Amino acid sequence: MGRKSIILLLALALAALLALVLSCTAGTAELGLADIWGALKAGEDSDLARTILFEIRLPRALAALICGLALGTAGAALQGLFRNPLADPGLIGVSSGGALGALLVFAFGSALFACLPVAFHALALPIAAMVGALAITFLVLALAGTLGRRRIGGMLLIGIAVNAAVAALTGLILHFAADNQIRLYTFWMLGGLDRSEWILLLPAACVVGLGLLILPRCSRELDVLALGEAEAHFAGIDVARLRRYVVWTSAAMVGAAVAVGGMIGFVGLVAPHLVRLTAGPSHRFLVPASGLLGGILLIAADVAARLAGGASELPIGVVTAIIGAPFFLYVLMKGEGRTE
Amino acid sequence: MSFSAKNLVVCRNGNRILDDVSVEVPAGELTIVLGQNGAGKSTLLRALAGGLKPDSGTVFCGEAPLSALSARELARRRAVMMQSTQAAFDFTVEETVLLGRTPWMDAVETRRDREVAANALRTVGLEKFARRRLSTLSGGERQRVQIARTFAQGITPTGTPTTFFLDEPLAALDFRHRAEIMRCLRELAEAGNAVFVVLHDLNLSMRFADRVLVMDRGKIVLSGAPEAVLTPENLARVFGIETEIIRDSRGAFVRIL
Repeated sequence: MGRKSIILLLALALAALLALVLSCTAGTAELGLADIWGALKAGEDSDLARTILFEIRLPRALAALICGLALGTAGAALQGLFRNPLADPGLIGVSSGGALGALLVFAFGSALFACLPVAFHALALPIAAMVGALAITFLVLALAGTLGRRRIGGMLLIGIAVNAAVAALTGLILHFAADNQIRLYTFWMLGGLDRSEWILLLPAACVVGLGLLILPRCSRELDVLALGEAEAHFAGIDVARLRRYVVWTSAAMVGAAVAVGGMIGFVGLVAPHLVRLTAGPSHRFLVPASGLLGGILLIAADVAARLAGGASELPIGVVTAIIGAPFFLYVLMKGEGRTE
Repeated sequence: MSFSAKNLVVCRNGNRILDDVSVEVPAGELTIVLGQNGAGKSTLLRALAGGLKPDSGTVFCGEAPLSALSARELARRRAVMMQSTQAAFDFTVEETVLLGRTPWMDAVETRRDREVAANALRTVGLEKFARRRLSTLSGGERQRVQIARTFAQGITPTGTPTTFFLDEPLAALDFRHRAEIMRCLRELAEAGNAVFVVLHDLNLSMRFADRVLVMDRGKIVLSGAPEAVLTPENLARVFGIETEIIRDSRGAFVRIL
């Protein structure tokens, strides 16, 4: 990676940090940069500011950063794996699996968790979403393993089929669910970071942090894979191993993001695109830069969601989709990022 | 470390694409494979290079069967250029050629890797294109980039010879570059490398090959020095074409009648 790329990455990291701090000032209660500084210094008189910062604003801003990092990084790596700039983390079943897991909690949770301690209830939903995400990804991978040598292209089709089956199962459960359960599920599906709590953030941060260490190490191999599966094998890449690494790491990262923020679309698709358009497709820069840009985008989207809705904020999935969908169409029409 | 195969059989959909083929790819020689479309040339190349598993028979690299080598170890012993390679993303020419250095590097390319890549680009006449993106190149230029990438992979740090497998490397090239690439392949062979090329050009084969293999319906039906193999009788039998051989002071060439 050249010096220019390293400077760009540092600039992105700095911008992400800045966005994180600035987003802590956004909200109904007045909290300026000076108040934040005071709260950090923990003076006696800044108790209220301290509470707002550490109990509400900071966890939320961190949640946006963690989810954005996860979605951007995993999005870039999966687009590389599928050799397709229009691939989305949903293709490996993470999203539909997470949704199914969450729905099971909404529909049957009260019965299932009645016997468990109250402290566990807050974590039931994220854990179920994470387990669902990983389980469906495992199913997609296992089915893809039965294909012949050209597994990655086939895996895409298997992902579509499995997603359809999971969606059908979800529909079936919804059909028999009560109205309030359906409402809870619907709002969860739209995404939101208003439930962010430290007890949830810490494990999510660990999972995402681990992914941030692993995925950039696959960059070189993803570059070679862009030439084709056979070419990558001829250039000495263990394609099966690469696929396992990328799929599992991405699934864990996106699963953690889903557990924290529900369904947040388009970040994993848009962030790698923006990076590729400006800095080229080399994954060594693309993977970390997409993560940082995803973090920045999601922090901004969360601020927009908080401010635009007035008293009742907008779901963040709505904000990202409003920006993301037209962008997706724009990319499709221009055919950017793919050689003819 | 030369490649060889014993009794290779490859079946697809009940057809024997390779039918009991045994072959050697000797070091220091330019071997050219000829044959009609569908004769099994590409399949043989891919099987020899470890790109597909034969239904029976074994491919050896030196004494070791290919299955004993990891993908990376194998990539250090042979470089492969396939018939058509399409990059999914729009890399620069230099980035693409550097991809060929992957089996030799840890995580980051060294100055030595950059030198090898620059040399390979010069060899195919694209040194001025290093910073261009693949999407801005013509089909023939892109093909030369892939040739350069293959050359960059086959250069060992210690200079020990390797094996090059190229499947129709000249398909999209103009006359001048066809001859130039053939001269490069000749030089690689003379430097001690084994070079194995699938081609569709009788005259280039006549002029540059040390040895010609002719395939027909999954078998190697003829092999030997080009002048011994490419006779009007053989060409009529295998390709169904009428030819005459014209000799002058510079050698022989084939005129198709």
